[in-house]
Amino acid sequence: MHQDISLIFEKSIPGREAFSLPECDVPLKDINELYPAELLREKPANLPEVSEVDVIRHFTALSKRNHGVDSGFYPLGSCTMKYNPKINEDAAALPGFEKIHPYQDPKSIQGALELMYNMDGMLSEITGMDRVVLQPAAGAHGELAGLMIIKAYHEHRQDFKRKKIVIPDTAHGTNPASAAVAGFDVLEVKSAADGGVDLESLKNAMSDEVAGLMLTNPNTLGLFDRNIGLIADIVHQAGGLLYYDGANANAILGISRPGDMGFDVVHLNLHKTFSTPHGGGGPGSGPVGVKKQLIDFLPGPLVEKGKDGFYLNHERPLSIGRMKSFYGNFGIVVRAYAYILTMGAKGLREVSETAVLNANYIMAKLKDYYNLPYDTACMHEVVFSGQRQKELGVSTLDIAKRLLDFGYHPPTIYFPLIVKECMMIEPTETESKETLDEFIAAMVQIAGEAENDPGLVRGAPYSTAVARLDEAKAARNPVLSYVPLCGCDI
Amino acid sequence: MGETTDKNGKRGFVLTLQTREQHIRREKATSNICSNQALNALNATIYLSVMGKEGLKKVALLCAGKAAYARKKLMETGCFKPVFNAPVFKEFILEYKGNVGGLNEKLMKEKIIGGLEAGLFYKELENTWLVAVTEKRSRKEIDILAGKVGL
Repeated sequence: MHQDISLIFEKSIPGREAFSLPECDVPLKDINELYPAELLREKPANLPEVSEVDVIRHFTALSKRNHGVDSGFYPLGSCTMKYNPKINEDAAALPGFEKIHPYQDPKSIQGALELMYNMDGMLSEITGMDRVVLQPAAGAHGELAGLMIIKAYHEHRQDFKRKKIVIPDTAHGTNPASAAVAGFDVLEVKSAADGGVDLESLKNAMSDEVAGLMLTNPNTLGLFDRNIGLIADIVHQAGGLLYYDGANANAILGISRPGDMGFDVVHLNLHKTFSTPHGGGGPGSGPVGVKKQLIDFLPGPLVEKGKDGFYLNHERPLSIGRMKSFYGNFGIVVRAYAYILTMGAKGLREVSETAVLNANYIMAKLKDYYNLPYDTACMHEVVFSGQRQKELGVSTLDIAKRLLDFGYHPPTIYFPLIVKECMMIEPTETESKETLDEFIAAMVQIAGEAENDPGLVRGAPYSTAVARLDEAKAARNPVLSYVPLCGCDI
Repeated sequence: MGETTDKNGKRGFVLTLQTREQHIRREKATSNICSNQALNALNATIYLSVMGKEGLKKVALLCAGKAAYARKKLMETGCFKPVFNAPVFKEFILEYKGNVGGLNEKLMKEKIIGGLEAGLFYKELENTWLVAVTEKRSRKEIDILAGKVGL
């Protein structure tokens, strides 16, 4: 089949139009009458000139060259690529949610404020926190907000020497990055042999200069840290606070709560755990929850319930301020709200139970074919090592590329950093046994290919729109925006 | 997003320059981006493809024309004074003769969300009204707005 891979700019024909605008019903002035010449651009914007059908076909073709959750299994570890129920989209598209503006009088957006207020309450219940703010745009933004809250808390107590954040070596890359952006120094602690935080290293790391610990539980090895109570005590006794990275919250819904484990600050990724779309990278939503003693520092405004209805409280002098204009990615919050109401308390618990069961099923079926560095029951994701295949000349990257030929998005690879040739598989609860069995069969076949025909795996993929891409070239010679072939001015 | 080629020389695209932020020396990162706003960027890309070179200009002219018409109609009510003299595009600011909060409450009863009270953001702009008029507003709607304001 003919595959047209030209860019929309390259389809442009001078004079072609896709738009239709209503007749102008007011007297239209000449542009030169409205504006002095120096405010007008001399050359027209270099935008494509295409027909409506050109646009439709171009973007439809692009969408078909993408693998998404709606096209197939997507076991990208730590990203929780679960199916996104379509009813969430219907809820978010209701005109009363979609067509409001954040500057409206609160009296005219009571429904939206009520939804945000209730969402705060439901996420507080799920995480064991006392208050949740919905403003951060995504997980890493939530991390930054949480760290700024921790900083504000210490500084409010006139304690200015706490400049360090302790982070285990299994942490998501955003944790140290967020700590650095928030102005902290990062102190890395090693993991113990069982994959959990090494308690002795943690004790040694603690001092009156440590502001807090950032932890993901279950961690990125897919393992629940059983010592979490002890860890919380160690950190609290040294005057630090505990930050919970909620990226792996899909393992614990309705089963355990960060607030009960001893965490003081939590972020959640609505685009992971609560089934809102990752949609080509976003928009995400990263609500932040805190325990009572930190509520004053939350970014704002907060939605409060008064005797005349819901209102936005801007009068919070200790607040770290706004993390984002207005109230966060509200449309995403509506989707997650619809999801929580659809699932209910019992349903959410079943989500995590099934997610954990699915990961353990994959572990049991694949552990004879791939190395399993932590041979113990896992939570919602399982971490293998491709070391056995590496010795045959097939890297984990090769295995990931080969999976594309079977119609799967590969797992997260080379992360966590402490596992060599790492493959981190997160099936999520929305996949059937049949889907898991087909994926397992593909992984078993690739393990066989690595032994019998390693060149086949190294040359993959064969069935995708493009073959293996030269990433070094892209980084060495960055071409980051469209440059017209004609060499004309943009 | 960077352009590159595949091993057969075919054009392709990759995420580039990402590793240095969160994978190498991550405790020294200067950004902590993970999820982003790409879906919104996609919407905007499709919109710009549809509008193209000519359409975007026409929309801009419609906005400017309708805003100029609305400004004229509102000034004719006798309820407003201009605040600034510089040329405006699709938004303009006017000073109301009375309490602008009261004006918005009155309009709300008519199912109209009025202009923004600029005084909430800038003290020196007390009782001014920031009005935005885009290509989506009709002459009839603008006439109704001016009529209700003048009542």
